[in-house]
Amino acid sequence: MKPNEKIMAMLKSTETQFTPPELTGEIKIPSVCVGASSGNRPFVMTNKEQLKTLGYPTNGLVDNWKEVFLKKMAEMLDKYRSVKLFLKICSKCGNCADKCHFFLGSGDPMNMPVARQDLMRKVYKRYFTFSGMLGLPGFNNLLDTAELSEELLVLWYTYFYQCTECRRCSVFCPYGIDTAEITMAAREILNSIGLVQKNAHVLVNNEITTGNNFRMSPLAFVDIIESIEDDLREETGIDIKIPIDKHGADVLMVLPSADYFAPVNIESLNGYAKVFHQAGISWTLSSYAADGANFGLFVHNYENMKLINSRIWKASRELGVKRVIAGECGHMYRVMSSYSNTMNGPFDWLSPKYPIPQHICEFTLDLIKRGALKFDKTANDHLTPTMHDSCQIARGSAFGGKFGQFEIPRAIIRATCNKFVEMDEDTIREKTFCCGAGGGLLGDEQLPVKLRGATPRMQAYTKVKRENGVNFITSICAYCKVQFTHLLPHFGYTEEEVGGVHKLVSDSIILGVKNI
Amino acid sequence: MQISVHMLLNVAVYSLLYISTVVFIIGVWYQISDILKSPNPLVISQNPQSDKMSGVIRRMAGDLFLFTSLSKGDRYLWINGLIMHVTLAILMGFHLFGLVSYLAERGNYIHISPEIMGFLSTIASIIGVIFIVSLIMLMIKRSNDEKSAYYTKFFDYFIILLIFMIGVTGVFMKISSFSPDLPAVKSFMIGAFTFHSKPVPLNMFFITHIALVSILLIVFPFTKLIHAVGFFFSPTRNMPNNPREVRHINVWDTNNGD
Repeated sequence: MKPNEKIMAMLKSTETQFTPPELTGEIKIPSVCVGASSGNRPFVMTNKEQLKTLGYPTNGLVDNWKEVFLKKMAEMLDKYRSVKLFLKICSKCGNCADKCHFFLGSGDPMNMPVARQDLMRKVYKRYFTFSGMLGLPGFNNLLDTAELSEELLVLWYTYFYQCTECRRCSVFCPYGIDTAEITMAAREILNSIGLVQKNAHVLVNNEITTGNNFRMSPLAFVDIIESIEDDLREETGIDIKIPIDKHGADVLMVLPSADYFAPVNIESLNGYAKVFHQAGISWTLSSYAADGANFGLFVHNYENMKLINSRIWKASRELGVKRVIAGECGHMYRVMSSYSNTMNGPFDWLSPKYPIPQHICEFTLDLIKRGALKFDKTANDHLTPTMHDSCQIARGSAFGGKFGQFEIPRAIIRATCNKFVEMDEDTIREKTFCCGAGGGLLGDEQLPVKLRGATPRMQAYTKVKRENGVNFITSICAYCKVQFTHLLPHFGYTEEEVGGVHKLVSDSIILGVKNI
Repeated sequence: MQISVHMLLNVAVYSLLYISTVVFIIGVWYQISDILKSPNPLVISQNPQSDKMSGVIRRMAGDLFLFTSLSKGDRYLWINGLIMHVTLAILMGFHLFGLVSYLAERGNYIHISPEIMGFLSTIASIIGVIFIVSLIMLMIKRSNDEKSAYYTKFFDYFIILLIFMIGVTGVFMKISSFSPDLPAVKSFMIGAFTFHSKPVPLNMFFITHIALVSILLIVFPFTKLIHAVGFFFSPTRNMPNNPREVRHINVWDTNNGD
């Protein structure tokens, strides 16, 4: 049998159904249960055209995969200090072991961050260090090393796709070891030998070829925005514009494409439009860079990430805007704020008066503070919101000073709502739990994994729901919102219980009366 | 006959000391240069992180001296880990003090009364015992907690046992009936540092102690013990979070797409 046929048979999921646990409001550390989460794997990409665009092998696992594997791994070690250093210095103190939401949700020991890293560390020790190269194959267990084998590939493909790269483990690590960096490198190594995860990479392909996740043409985009404008006009009775490709506008607004389709995200888009309308600041979307989402972040494929990101800055230059503002999306904002300047900067055509890029929450709170926006808080009285910090914003990027990414959205919620309740302090701010579907884990075939990953957050939510009557999860990440609308019904809640910060703005803003 | 065995022992101990020191220095140098060979392409500071170097240094100092990040998780691990590292640092300080004070006294720069030395010696013994106890506590956590037991392998136990035995032999030397001849130990160590061969004090605990320390020095650069050096290079901790204001340059991609 060819290696590819063999591995494809091994990669078939055996677990497709999962019943979420009963919600008690308490996050319990589960007892170790080997293999509890070993049965679910994402689909492998087989579309040859897409694989070609992405620059990966088109016929599945390549025949000389061990050679390619080690070559790619050496490249990753040479390019990323993070990967090399983190493989060297882990002292296995175990502080991260019970911090991963997937471990808390499943009890599978391979979901402990240290064990996940060990999947790569064993290979590193065996092929890249003295002790491993000296060791005879029989001493793998003693030296904690591993030979390359099909079984190991299956473990890699399973458990590196049960990491949402949320960096929670890194907060507790005494050396700051970030499992996300290891996961990204591991995924790129898997990609290079032909085991490409389907769902996230379809999106990378779409972003490269069409500039957005949904393969929509500029005409379709205009159409969608017009219908959103119509709905807005019907709702408010005011002609609120959502301009597209308007040359010379002040602001280029970059949004994740979910904001045009998912109802829960459109509510936030309405919020942005109302804020710009009320503040009287001219803005525009770009049909060329309609989507800021960048799934290239989730694998260490720098070239694809850079290419996708460059669209935003080309559009900003062409449209002649003064500033770029990012909408509510976690990983998009991380790429734009932390990586863009390195990859595609410096952006000397933009005004240096504003941060490049600015976050929409920074922008809105600034207007609120200057008295440019007025709210009718009672419009949100039926809601008791809580704030779910999104991992890529909480731990991967920042705006408005050191703690701005925590304080600014909360300040906006307080300005627009009478009630606000925090969840348990171990589950918010820098210790926030992932929604369970970040890091490119978006395929429906991974539902069991996503449900397990969402469990800790759901427990924390259940607690404040029962004790404080909280009935609304606020988030500033498109993926958190979409994930929760999908998963809340599985836990017995309704999908209306989630929304963006700008949904609260949108529902309570007083339009029409100019205050400046 | 007895003299020749002593000579052989002398040669063995001196070779072990010098070989281990050379391996340690070359090993650490190799690891640092290997780490520095790979660049940081992107800013990956783990936020919330200060945007200024001063804030970054403050955070890393907290991690270095108080294990701030560790304290956010398991309290038991934090307290025992902190005690173990702090007592280890103090004990190493005492070793250094012993040698320096010996040299200073020999050169008539200072004179320390035997009472003070005795008092310091008692303190060192107490700290040594605390050090050993914290190691036992860490070992218990490692083997009893089912999570730690899952990923703990031979080498993790080996290193902790090695350090434990170093501590035990060290504390035993404080008991008068097992104690080596202290001036002989000091002149031997000074001799080792200045390349003047002096006879090895014939004491089981002393010889085991320095043999184990030599093994520790040899394995240090090639095992997880390198965390002591690697910590300072950790990009999630040592990069200021200012990518919007200061353009970080990726050395393997300087083309900005224009």
